[in-house]
Amino acid sequence: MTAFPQNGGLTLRRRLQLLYFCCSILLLPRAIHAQTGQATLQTPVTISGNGIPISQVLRSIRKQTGLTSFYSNQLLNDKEKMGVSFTHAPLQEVLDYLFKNKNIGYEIRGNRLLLNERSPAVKPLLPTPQESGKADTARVKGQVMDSEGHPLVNATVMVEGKQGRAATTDEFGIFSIAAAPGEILSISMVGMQTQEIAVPSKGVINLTLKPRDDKMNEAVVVGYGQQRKITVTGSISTVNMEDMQMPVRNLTDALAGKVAGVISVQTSGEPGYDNSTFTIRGIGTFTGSVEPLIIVDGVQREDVNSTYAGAYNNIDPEDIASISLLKDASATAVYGAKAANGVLIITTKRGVAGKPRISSKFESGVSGLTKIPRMLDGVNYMRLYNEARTNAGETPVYSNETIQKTASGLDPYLYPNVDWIHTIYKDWAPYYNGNVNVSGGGEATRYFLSMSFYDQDGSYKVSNLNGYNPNLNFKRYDFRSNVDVNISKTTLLSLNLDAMLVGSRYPGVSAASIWYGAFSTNPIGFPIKYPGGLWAGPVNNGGVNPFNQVQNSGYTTEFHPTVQSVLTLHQKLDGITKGLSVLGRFSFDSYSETDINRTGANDLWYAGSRDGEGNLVLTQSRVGSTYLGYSSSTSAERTIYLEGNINYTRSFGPHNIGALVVYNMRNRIVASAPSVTNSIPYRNQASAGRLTYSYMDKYLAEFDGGYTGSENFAPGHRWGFFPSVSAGWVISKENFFDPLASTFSLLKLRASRGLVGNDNIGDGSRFGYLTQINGGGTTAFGTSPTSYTGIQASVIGTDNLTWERSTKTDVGLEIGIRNKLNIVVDAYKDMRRDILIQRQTISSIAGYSGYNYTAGTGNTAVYTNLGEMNNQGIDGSVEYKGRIGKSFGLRVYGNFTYARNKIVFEDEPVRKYPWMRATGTKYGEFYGYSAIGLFQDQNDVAKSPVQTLTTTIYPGDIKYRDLNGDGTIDAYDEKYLGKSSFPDWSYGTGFSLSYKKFDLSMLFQGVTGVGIMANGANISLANAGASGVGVIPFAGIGQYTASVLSNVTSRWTISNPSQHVDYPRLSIGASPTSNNYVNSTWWLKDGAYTRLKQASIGYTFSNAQWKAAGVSSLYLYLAGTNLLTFSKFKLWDPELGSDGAGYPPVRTIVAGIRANF
Amino acid sequence: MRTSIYFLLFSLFLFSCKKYLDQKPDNLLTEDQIWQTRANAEAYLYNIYSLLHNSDGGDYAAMGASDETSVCIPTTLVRQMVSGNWNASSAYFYNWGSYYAGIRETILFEQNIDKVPATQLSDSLKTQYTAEVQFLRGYFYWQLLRQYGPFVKVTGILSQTANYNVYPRSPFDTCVAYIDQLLDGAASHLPAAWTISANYGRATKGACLAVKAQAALLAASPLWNGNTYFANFKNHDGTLLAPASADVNRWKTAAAAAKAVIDLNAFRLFTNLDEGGPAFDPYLSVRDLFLVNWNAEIILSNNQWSQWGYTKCVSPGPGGYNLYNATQNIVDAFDMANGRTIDDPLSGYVETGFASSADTNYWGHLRGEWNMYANREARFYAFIQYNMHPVLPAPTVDDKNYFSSTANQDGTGRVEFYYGGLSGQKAAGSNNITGYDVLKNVSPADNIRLDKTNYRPQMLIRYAEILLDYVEALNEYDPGNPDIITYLDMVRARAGLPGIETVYPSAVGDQTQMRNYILHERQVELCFENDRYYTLIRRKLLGKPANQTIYGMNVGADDGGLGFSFTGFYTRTLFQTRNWDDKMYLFPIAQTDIDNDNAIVQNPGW
Repeated sequence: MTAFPQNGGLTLRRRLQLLYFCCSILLLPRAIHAQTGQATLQTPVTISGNGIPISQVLRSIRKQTGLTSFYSNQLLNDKEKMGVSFTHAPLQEVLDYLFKNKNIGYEIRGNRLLLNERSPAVKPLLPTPQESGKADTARVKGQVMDSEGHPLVNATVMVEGKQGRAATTDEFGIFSIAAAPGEILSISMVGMQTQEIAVPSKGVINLTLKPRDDKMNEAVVVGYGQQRKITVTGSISTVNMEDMQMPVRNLTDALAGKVAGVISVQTSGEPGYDNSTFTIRGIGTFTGSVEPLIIVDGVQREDVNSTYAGAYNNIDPEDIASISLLKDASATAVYGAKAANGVLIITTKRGVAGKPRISSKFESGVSGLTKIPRMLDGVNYMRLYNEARTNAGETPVYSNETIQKTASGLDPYLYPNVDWIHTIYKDWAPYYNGNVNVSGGGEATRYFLSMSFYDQDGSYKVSNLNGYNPNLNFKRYDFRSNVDVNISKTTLLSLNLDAMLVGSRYPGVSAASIWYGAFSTNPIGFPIKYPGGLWAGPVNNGGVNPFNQVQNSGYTTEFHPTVQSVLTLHQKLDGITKGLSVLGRFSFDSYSETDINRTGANDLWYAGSRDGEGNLVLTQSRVGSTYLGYSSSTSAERTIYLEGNINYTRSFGPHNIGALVVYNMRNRIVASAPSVTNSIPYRNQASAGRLTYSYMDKYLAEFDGGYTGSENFAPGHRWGFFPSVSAGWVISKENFFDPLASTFSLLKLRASRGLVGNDNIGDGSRFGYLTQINGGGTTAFGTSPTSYTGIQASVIGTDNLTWERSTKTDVGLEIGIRNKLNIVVDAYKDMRRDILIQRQTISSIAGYSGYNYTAGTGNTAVYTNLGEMNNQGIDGSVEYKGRIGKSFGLRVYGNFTYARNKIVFEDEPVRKYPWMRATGTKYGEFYGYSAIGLFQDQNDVAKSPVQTLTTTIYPGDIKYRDLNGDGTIDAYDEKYLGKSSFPDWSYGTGFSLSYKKFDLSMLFQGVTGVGIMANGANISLANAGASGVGVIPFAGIGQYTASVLSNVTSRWTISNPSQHVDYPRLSIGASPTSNNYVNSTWWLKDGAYTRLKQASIGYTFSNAQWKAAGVSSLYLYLAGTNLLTFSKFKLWDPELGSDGAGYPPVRTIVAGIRANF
Repeated sequence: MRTSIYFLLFSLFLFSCKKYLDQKPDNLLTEDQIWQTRANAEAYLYNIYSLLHNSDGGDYAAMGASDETSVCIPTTLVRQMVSGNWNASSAYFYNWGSYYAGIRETILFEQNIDKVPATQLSDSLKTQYTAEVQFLRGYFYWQLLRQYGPFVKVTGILSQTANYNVYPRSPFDTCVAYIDQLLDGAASHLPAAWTISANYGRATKGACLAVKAQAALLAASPLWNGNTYFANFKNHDGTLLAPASADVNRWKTAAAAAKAVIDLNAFRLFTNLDEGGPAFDPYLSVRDLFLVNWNAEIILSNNQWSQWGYTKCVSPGPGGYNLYNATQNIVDAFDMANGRTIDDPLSGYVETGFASSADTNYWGHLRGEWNMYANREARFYAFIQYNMHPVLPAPTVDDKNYFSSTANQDGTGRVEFYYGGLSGQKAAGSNNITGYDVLKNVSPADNIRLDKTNYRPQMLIRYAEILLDYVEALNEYDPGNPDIITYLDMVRARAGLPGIETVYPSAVGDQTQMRNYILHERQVELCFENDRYYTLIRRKLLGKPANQTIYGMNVGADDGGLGFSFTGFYTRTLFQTRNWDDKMYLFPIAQTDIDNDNAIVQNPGW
């Protein structure tokens, strides 16, 4: 954010900021000063002129004496014109004349002429540089600044261990002290953290003191600014950035378990496509996006409808200074329309004045998959297939001889037995990550420059066979330059430039296809390859050789350059009234993707028999191409953002008031838009305001309001007003609380209520108020037919479409005990109204639900504001931080989020029975039958209700409950099953422990209250393949029956009719609509898990000698992510949810080094 | 000073942005603009026409809901249907919503077409287009009636906010009458058939009358003509949805409707003479009927069918997917070349042994083929891909050899359905379950191995069907009518078969015998064209055990390397006993459609 705090430390700073640094000094070569020698007040000067400005007089003095003048332009109006005439007059005389009627004193210090308010008596400072005789031992000079580059006056500099040697800094923060190289200087000041530094052998010392951690004055990032934590009335959590140092690619994954309020689910670990579904306080709406608004350095950096939505995940955590979660209406109201799902504010690091500080990290290690499913081996596969045939009254297919031959493994070509998953995936792949950043600067300019590199391989067990490496490889280069320039003492210009360049390579077929292939290819169809390097594979449409797919299908390279820039100009307007400032911000972001596909198919062979001489009879099952094909695609978009705001903060005695007015507009242009509708710039326009009041930091109140327009609504329905109010009471500041004050360092109550909005109509659609005509089906007429493309309405406009509104209420309690234990708990309720939905209950006979033949899918959309949903819960965090003795440090923390949503009203038809109603259930709740075990015998079947899912039911099939008691199990017996695919609870708990120079930290993260529908219905390769492969025995499209998980051996059989098995009676040709595999409680599993999300152990090397050599610290560590997973669900990684055929989250183990210079 | 500049700038951009969100997408086509230009109005019409398009490769009727085919993939929807894994929530082959969307669009078109300026679109074209959309509306209702039974009659644009619980289904007779009304209206403004070839594919009077004939035949057939199973098929208010009693006059209406098409004199049966053949050739006539781009037999077609998907699915391995497997049931239906059915002792049919000589016809069986396939009628060789029968969409010797194992590579491309053959059970990715594939509508000019197929129209209604409709209806109320023989023999003659009266004279005038021969002729002539399913449905025959018990060859028997000489393959093998319930005579109305319009009653049994 801005380099000026809104509050705090003002008195000190105001004094310092009065200095005006003559810019011209920077332009003059130092040689001039050398020529002039040491000037004194007696140095003669000659100046004459009539009506010349004082500035010119001072310039003339500088030319003649080498003395540069320093003054505040509030002290002296240097444009004032005077008449002067001095010839060889002492400087003192000239100055006395110039300032005779002004309350200005002067003083020469070195080659500087300091002008300041005349004081009754100039107090001599401690040894000043020019007074120090050469007789002294070595003197070291230096300058002390605060983090914004302002010199710190009266800071104490002491030589460690030498009580007598001390100095203080002057107005310019400059000190000089006798100290030998290698001695340690300690620099301290009230309100600042004491810093130690070794005296270098030559050169000057520049250093910066950071403000002392002060719980009371700690600032937190809020919408469009910062506030002192104590005065915040909204619900805001901040992330401890120390916890974010973990070897993962994406930020959202790193956030899981770190902070109260976040529920995040990572459904793929494929490098580059591993962004988590990330929500703040769960899910508040049943349509549209659930992801929060992402603000990076003051600018919206995410679009729910954009293909580049997750780009912010590529920001290196090393570059991040803070992450704030805005959770309630009060905190988010200034973002009005976009904030219904909460706001995540990421602020990157900025330069701190001082000499260049280099910080570097390098880590290297391995990454692997958390869990690789186990599939059934070939021998058991055949046995069970025969069993399934027998169960259906058919004859077994695989003879004992065939099974024997397969089991013997003597002829793996005709009788293959392939474990495809372990053929395709390997345990460990290399991983590298490094970051170097440099920060520093001075009074006028400060910088933070960073570069990082991330390199991760995929887990495919492939090699460079064909002149290319098909393995997945993800490389990312992040470059960041954050520069702050004080144009004037009241004007700050900041420029952030950030380039995130991702260059990655993927196999020629998608990860999803490879996983699907691994699940759908049975172990006995064909081997991996035949002798002579001939790859085996089926004839077309008969499935795939999944390993051949990944090894020999070519590769795709992807290049995703993201460039983000923000220019901010902050102007203080204390001249008009104290505490007033304005800010202008302009941002231009560019996103693009260029893919090159070099894909192709190789020759495949198949052998069904051996000839008389025992040679394999090979037929070519696929004729491949000898070279890889070429195709490329590009897409791009850009976003322009403009913001202006006026900020006012001031204290009147015990009353603190603050005000903010913001106006912003945003324009997103999809350069590679697929349709006219998408090519029209996406626009938003908003204004917002905030009023804060606090009395003695004890009674707090805030009013926020956002006024936002959306292009999705017709004029007249376009603008929405989103107000919120909040209040806080810091009980611990009350007098009556004094007796408890020694124990309770903080007790604060706060509450908020407000309205936020959403204009996102889902599916990437826009202009829901307009009927939109697009390309429809095609037809053709004539003998050599001419094809005609039709048009049809894709959206039928709804005139009165308007904002979806959410009323958010939050009550929070903050407790601090002895400044060591901090507890924050929030209870909240979010009531969504007028949810923007596509109509569901318009009867088909009205003809609004047209089928788009060209697209193959999709309905004509009719949008409306209909639907209500509640989301309520509680989130909280506890943190203990303390030291035991001198060498033992401990931090223990935990956080949890509970979010329970409920659909209050949905556009659903009148259901015949209450259990069929979605209304009253939670988002994503599974719907299906209630299993009550397996049919025991034919008699059991006969006396039970008729199950209509499959015409004939056999013993061993799943038996369902007849909910409506009509003697038939049909659609009316399906109900909502209580568990959702999205967790209710998310938690994280961890500790970090330090003993002397060792440290150890661990974080456990988990979710609970989540279900997995493990019937395989979701395993369908985005509906392109038969669903259920890998789970439903012998399912599959194409003529190969699919593979199946090894736990299928736990099944009901005639000889062992057990109820305590994983699978019902085996059958052939089952699908997710068959009696045994429809959604039901039989397949609904508990998806809760706890992970050892991260762990690290490290050792810090530091000693005075290294410090003297410039290495301020060196830290060696071992770290890991996703090291252990505890879950009742064993079949695949539980975070994948119901679709187990996916790239699981990765486990990473690294060794690393951090060094600061 | 500086401050005021900031404020000035700030307020400037506030003002400049007043219209910021008013970027009405001017370049977007809006509803009104459709009716401002001829091109847009015509594009709107084309989109409605696109609903005539069946998915490439056929739907349930083609893919094995009847006894003539089975798809070898057990998880396909049609296999789920025949195994009884089917309920109101399954929404298999859901067409209800899309046809109603088409109906809405036809109404919108009719209401707005007059808005197109006369300078752009002449009145005569407006009349023609209006007639075309009326035909399409009638056709969509006909499709709904055939699949789901009585429909909800929607005659205007319904509002998004309407209460839909007041739109019940109309009784069956009302539905048919409404279809007739729409088609009659359309027919009066359309030519019998198009003379300008650019219009081929558009609706004609012939198409209108043909659809009427189809609907009338359905109305006369046992499913709706006094079907007791529908006795309690009523709306909530008690309105009977199916006619309560049988009425033979429905057959009269059906015959008249079919005769009206015949009397247009716009259509005739295709023969190879039409494509310039020197002499009549039954094989080329029945094969090329589907391959000659536009011929006089086509009454309604979809003209943008590449046929790739269909050809790929019906062709044997390794070039094709080998998916749509013909059944022994349909194989047995084909006559011998002498016009007799195979169960006729006089037919000369032999089921076992290898043929010692080739057929005298060039298109007939080859020496060494199984006797079951010897001396059959021309349609058998044109429509059925049986073991050893040369593959068709493979133009060169190399292409043909691609379909043969090394030992069989003699340039003829004889299909190997036996266990170890390239299209057999053992072959990777080619698990043919019957020992047959479909060969109808496959062109020798195509090369399926290279995925090259040539354009031809997809026939939706052809003249032969109308002739068979006519004789079937006639036989039901006037079995002695000589037209029965005349028109039935037309179809037989084109297939190179002698007249029915010469082969089976006893059937002449015998209603029951003749009915069997007519349906039998229909089964063969219209096989794999969706008709078998609908015929069995309307005649209430699909549920008959004989039509649910599906046979093939013994594809699972290991030939032990014997290849074509393996006799164990040629054993009739039961591979499917399908699940049947009488409710399946109609598709269920989707549960969501009933939920959204409570006035709709579910079809009986669902």
